[in-house]
Amino acid sequence: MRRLNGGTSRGVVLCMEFSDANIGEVLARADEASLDALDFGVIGMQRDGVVTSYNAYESRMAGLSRTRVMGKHFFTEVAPCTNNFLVASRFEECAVLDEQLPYVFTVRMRPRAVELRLVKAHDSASQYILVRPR
Amino acid sequence: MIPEHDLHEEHEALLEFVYLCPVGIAQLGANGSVEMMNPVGARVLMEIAARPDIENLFESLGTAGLELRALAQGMTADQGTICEAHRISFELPRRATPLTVSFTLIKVSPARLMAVIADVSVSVEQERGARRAEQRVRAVFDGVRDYAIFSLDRDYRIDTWNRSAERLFGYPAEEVIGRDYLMLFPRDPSSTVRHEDVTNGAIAGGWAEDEGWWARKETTRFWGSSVVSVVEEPDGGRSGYIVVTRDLTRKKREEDDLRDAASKDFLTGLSNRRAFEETARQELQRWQRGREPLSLLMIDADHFKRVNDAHGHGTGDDVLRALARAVQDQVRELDVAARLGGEEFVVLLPSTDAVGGRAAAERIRTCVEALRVTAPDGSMVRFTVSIGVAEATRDAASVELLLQRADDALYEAKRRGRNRSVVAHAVDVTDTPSRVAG
Repeated sequence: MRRLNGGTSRGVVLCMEFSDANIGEVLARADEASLDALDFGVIGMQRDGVVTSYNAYESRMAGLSRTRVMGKHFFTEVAPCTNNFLVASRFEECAVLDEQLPYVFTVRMRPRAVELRLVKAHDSASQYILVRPR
Repeated sequence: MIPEHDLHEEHEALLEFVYLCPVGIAQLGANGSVEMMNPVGARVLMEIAARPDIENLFESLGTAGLELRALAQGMTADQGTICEAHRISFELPRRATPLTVSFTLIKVSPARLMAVIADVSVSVEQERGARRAEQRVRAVFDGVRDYAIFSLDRDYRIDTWNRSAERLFGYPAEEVIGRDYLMLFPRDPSSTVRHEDVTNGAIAGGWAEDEGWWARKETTRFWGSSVVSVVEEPDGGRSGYIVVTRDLTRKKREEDDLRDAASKDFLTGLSNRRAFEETARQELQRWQRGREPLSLLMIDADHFKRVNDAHGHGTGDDVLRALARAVQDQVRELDVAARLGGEEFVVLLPSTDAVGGRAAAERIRTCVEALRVTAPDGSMVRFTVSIGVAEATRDAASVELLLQRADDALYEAKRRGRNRSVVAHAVDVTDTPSRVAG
């Protein structure tokens, strides 16, 4: 983790990479501006699946605005194609989760190969899906 | 003009609509190139295709893709349905059951196809399960050799009839379907009671057992052990019955043989004393409950010792057998003829008063009188019987007393010169003329 100056009006931007080992901790502390600065998609949600953060990259990719997605249940109301044993079930089954898997997301009505990283820390109230193109 | 903001909102709502659409939808180029596809469509195809980023539907699905391409190319018209719910099954290593996908392809224009892609594996499995269950039932239904299975509607008309039923009853299905199943019972007043007993039992408890004779198409019958089950509608109503019956004639015969061995007199085949006493007790109980009279004949061969002495025991046995046959021939099916021992016989006559008993006794006496048995030396042996007749009355209401009274009458017949019948305690005793005793 590094501190960068002049990112947003709030002054401090947390910087991270898709593959950072401690990404769970960083995400938990990151503000909206930090998430929007990332070059990969981040969907943060409560343990019940209700979306609490939706960054700019993901919003652009899916074509859905943040306000449309926030507060909705991700696996049933936003992306039912992730409500399966590969994604949603992993969050239910595991108390602690950090795994990467190849997946297909629909990007502007075309199926695109992506890499998913599913993150759930033991002591966190949130869980995250990270998305980047393959 | 629609404001830019509203257009954006609508666009987003449309995207969301497509994302949430629970079946796969896609827009393809004429050559199968994927121009648009919703997430469910992508997810279904991802399971089948080797590559996750599906560029071309026809190229990414192997032989199934070739099959779809052939269908699409076979369509020469500019627009129309190429295929509707065309099912293709995929055996996938990570799945226990095949993945079945239903493809509907519609040609919108020469350059554009619309596709509906749905995973129908679950319903296919359900259909397969149902078909398998039906085939299994069919196999059991038609294949069982030992069990006739047929069903009845709620009015006891036969509505299904399996091959075993055809074999067992001798009726082809077309001769029984729609007819009352009482046709399968022997023509016997007791059949109605039996039918009511078993169906009432089945209605009360869901099913009931029945043992009894069934009538074949030919005049023969078989002894069936059956289970009758009620077929219930989902709402709890009764839609009919299923009858499963098994031919146990052989077992029944064996049981009858065993019972016969225990109850038949070995020499003559009539009932023995033990079986007679049992039947007589039952008949007396019935007599006490009802109004029908009951009579008893005590029959004794006259001077039997002389036959034995003159012609030997073998001839004596022949005489006893001939006598037994004569008795059996002269009484009704429901009468019980027994050999009590030695040359002493007895016949129980239900629904018969002393007058009827006397008539039966006289038939037996004259029949025996006319008999001839050939002795080993070629001579013809003749013999006669004396018969005592007693009717059950209030003061002779036990087997012992009835036997005693008939025995007294028999003694009287002997005393009066043999070859005659005497009715016990009857005022109008008419003696038959005495003839030469054998």
